[in-house]
This record gives sequence, C-alpha cells and structure tokens, in this order.
Amino acid sequence: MEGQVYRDASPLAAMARWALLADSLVCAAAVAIALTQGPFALTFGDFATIFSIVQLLTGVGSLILFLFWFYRANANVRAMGADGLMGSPGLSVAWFFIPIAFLFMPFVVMRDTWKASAAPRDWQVQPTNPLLGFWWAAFLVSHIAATVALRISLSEDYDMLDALGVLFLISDATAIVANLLGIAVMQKIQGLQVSPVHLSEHFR
Amino acid sequence: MATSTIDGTIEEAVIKRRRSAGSFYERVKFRLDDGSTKTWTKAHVMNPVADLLTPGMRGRFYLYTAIDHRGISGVRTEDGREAFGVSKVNENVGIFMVVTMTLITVFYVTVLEKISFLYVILGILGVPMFFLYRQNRLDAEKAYESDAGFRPAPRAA
Repeated sequence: MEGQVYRDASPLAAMARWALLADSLVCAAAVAIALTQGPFALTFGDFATIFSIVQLLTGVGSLILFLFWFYRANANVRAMGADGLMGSPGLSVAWFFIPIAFLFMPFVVMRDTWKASAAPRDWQVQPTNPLLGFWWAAFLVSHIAATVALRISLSEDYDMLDALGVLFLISDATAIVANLLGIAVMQKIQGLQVSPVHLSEHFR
Repeated sequence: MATSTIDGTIEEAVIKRRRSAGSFYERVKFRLDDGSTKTWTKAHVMNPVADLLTPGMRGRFYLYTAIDHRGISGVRTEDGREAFGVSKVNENVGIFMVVTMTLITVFYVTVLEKISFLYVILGILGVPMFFLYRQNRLDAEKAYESDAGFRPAPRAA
C-alpha cells in the first residue's frame, strides 16, 4: 500500500530501547546530583560541561534512534495495508521538528501508527490507548522545561537562577518518565506489527 | 497528499454537522466488495457528494487525506449518479496566514522595531499549507477524472 515495503523494525526498536534506557540513566544521575548537591551542581559545578555533553549525546542519540524506528514502523503499517494515514513516513517524523505543529502532531501520527498496527484495514475506529497520552505529556513537559531553562541560561538573567535549577530538575525527571513510556509505546506497536496474525492476514 | 478509491457499499454514515457547502461526518463505514470493512472517521464531504452517502448506497468512493484532514471527494454510484467536490477553505487559510503574518511582521519591524518569531513562523507555515492542500485537491480531481465514464458493476444476485 502506498508503495511501502514491510521490513522488520525489531533491530531498530532494540537499539532505540537501549539508547532510551541510557538517556534515562543519565537523567536519573542528573536528578540525583541535583537533589544531593543542589540544583546548580550541574550548571556551575566542576563537571558541568562534561555532564552536559554526555546528556546532549544520549538525549539526541536516543531521539534519533527512536525516530528511525518510528519511520520504519510508520512505513510498515502502510505496507500492511493501512491507508488514510497522514502524509508519508518522512512527514510523520518531520512533525517532531515543525514549529507549533510539534506540540500535537507527533502524538497524532504516533496514535494513528498504533491504531493502524492493531487493525491495518480498518484502523480509524480503533480505541486510543491512554499510554500514548501519558507518554506525550511527559515528553512535552520535559522538552518545554528544558527549552525554557536553556533560554533563561542564554539570557544570563541572574534573577532567574532559582527557576533555572528547578526547570532542569523537572526536565530531567520527566525525561525519565517519557523515555520509559516511550519504550512501552514502542514495544506495544512493535508487538502488534510482528504479530503472526497480521503477517498471515496481510502478506499471504 | 494521499488519495485512494474503494469499491463497496455504505453501511453507516453518521453525520456530525452540515453547513451550507459541506458536511462533517463522525464516521462513514463501508462494506468492501471483498467482504471486509473500512471506516473513514472525521471526514469532510462537500454536500453534492454527501447527498449520495446514504446507507445501502453501492459504488466507487474517492477518499483523500491531507495533513490532518480526511474526506470523501467523490462518488460514482451503482445506479449511475456521480458527484465530486473538495473544499478550498484550507488553501485559503494558508494564503491568509502568509498575508496577515507578513503584514504583522512588517508592522513589528517598522513600528515596534522588533521581531516576533511566532508571527514569522506562522507566516512561513502558511506556504506549505497552501501548496499541500492545493496539491491534494488536484490529486483528488485527477483520480476522479481518470475514472470518467466508470460505472460500478451491478451487485451479484
């Protein structure tokens, strides 16, 4: 359907899962340091720079791998016979980077991918799993808190230092939740896509 | 964006609201000729097409998806009736966004001597919005016209 070919996304899912777990560990370390040594330990402390680089690498790396998996998962549901999905697999990933639209469209395309994985031929009437809403809420809170904190730090507004520490703490704590829920979402979708029931129904 | 055609029979057409030009359907459920079902939810349909979407109606249905909008652009029924229509509202919204956000940005820069990235981004987003919806409409027209003269085969007894 729509020119897409089904390819097993399990290897990508495994890599994305490990990357998300690694990022969660780094975020957990950030939360632990902030709670034990104060909120500015990772902003002005001795190893603030190196920790920021590690956090950036795990954060960006896990997002990239997650999006690679999502591209493949979205392409697979089209190959399984789902039509009426928005745009293309590329656009489904691009929504994560389009200003304003990134607030809600990634949730919509992830929801549709889940539904279409469950019932490719008649996916629009499938129920929405609440796990998706929790994942997207945590993802948004984490990224919005990090963005606001970054803007404050770039503005060098020293009156906002207290808020800066709290925002980074919120961002790290919710990133852990978002990553773990993201893994759960990924595994649920992956489980639906490799189901022998679907394979026998759509590829015979 | 994406257009598709299906051959089947309408089992259910639940309308949400009807306006002067078009209607929004909560869902339209089709029974395909191969026996499976397909449901099109939250679909926009122009009224000439909507008038033919009644339960039991058999024919070929032309569907589209554009960004986050779905709709039914055309229908050719078993009894020889046909209708086509795609709304231009979203194309016009795209143009409106570009024009108004450009004017607001010019006002900001010249009078307030600063820039609002929100308005700049909204103005820029209007451009792909216009072209994507326009392309969708043209694709839907092309799909419908390529079937000109088609009439669904009578239902098997």
